[in-house]
Amino acid sequence: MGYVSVKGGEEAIREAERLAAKNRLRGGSPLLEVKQVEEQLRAAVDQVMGEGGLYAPELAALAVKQSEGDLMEAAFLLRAYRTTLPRLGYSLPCAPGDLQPMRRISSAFKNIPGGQILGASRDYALHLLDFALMRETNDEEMGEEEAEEADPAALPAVLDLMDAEGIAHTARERAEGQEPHDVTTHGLSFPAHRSARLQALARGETGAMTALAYASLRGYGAVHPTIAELRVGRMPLRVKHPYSGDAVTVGEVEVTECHAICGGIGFVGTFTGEEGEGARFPLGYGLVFGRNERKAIAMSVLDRCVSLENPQAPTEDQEFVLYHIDGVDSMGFVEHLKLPHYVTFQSALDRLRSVHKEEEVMSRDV
Amino acid sequence: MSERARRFRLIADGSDPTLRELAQKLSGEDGFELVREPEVGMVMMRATDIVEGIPFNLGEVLVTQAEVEVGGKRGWFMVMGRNARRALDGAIIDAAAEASHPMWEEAEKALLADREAMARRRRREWGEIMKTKVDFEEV
Repeated sequence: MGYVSVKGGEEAIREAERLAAKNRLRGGSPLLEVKQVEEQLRAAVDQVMGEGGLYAPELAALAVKQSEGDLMEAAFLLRAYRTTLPRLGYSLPCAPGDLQPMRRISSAFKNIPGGQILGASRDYALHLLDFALMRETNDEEMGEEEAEEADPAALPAVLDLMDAEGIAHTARERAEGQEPHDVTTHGLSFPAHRSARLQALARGETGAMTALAYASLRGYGAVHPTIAELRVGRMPLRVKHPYSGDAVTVGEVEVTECHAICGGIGFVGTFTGEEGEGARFPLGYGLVFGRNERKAIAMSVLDRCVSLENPQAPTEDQEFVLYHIDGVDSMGFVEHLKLPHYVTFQSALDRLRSVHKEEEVMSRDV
Repeated sequence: MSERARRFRLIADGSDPTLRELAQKLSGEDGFELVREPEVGMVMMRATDIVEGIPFNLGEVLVTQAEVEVGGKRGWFMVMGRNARRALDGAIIDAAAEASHPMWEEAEKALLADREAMARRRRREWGEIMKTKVDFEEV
């Protein structure tokens, strides 16, 4: 049997694609509408937007449908699509205070100004299958009581209060005039600037980030934070009006934000603080598109991990973390192994066969 | 805040049907001229981190923008998502207002009504959210 490079297979490829498309519809159930995916599979849509680096709920839903629920593939589709679009500009940087929360909790303090607001959450429900959903109909009432109207309140950040007490330092003043790095145009280089690190984390793959943050929490790293505040809410997209130069709000983007205090329980390391300012808790920051609390928390852990001056573990190594959390990169590399490697494998095969021959000759000589 | 920016906010609070109706009325018999075809593109959304206060690129947001001329005045509008119709309608309304269209006052009232309706929805939503506020008890 010989191993040689080949070409051809176009007809087989066409048929394989046709078969895959046919399989999606083989069951004969009603066609899944993109709107249904957008409204009823919101966790998937949000994850795909974050990992795809493009906030576009309708198109993310389309990608989820097209990929039959393969979220890494869906994020890949979204990233591929964004390469066809012009970049019309940059928003004005929004700050944590711009977020209008729909949920905010703190695991560091019980009583926080504005209170702990659970919002829409299943955090405290049992992880049991709900068989009632098998029989769900559109006629079913949600049984909601009419809520009283109330003016949305601005909630002060927990970290700001810690800052005021001198136990954590937050950057209240925006660092003006800094042009952030853009990993979509210039790629990553190491050591990476903080803006590049945050961008790479914000578009990282949820599962990979969760795994690496978990590794750090378990001891393969030194960061084990307490969450000062976790927020889900709407962040305004503000641009400069082309005629007047004023800031105008084009719309709102749903985001999840995590402020992590990287000291306390399980903390290994030192407190930070400029000389003469006193000891303070070091902080980690997470901000991601959509509602994705797992990823925002993992981002805040990894942000602190890759900001350490003396990395001691792989989870604190910038290159290890930032290169391997990219879903499109990692799936591409792992899955490329499926593609023909006939030529490269043949050289390995030739070497092994020659070793066999040498062994045969040597055994005869003996 | 300039009149342009104030008007942008007002139009942005309008519902799709309101914008459609107003754009049809305000473009009138003379219609409008396209300065820029509705264009789908991206705006890179920037955020400021809380640790060092530096801006970073959070990710891109899909938007559509359009630019038109009505009565010799230009109008521009941008919306989130792929929505050429709404971008165009917003630009027409902006241009017509800039050209002091006689119906602008009436249009403004319709947009303010939409804003109030949206504010009510938000107040109701917040009321519902506030029912999930935790009331701790000492044990």
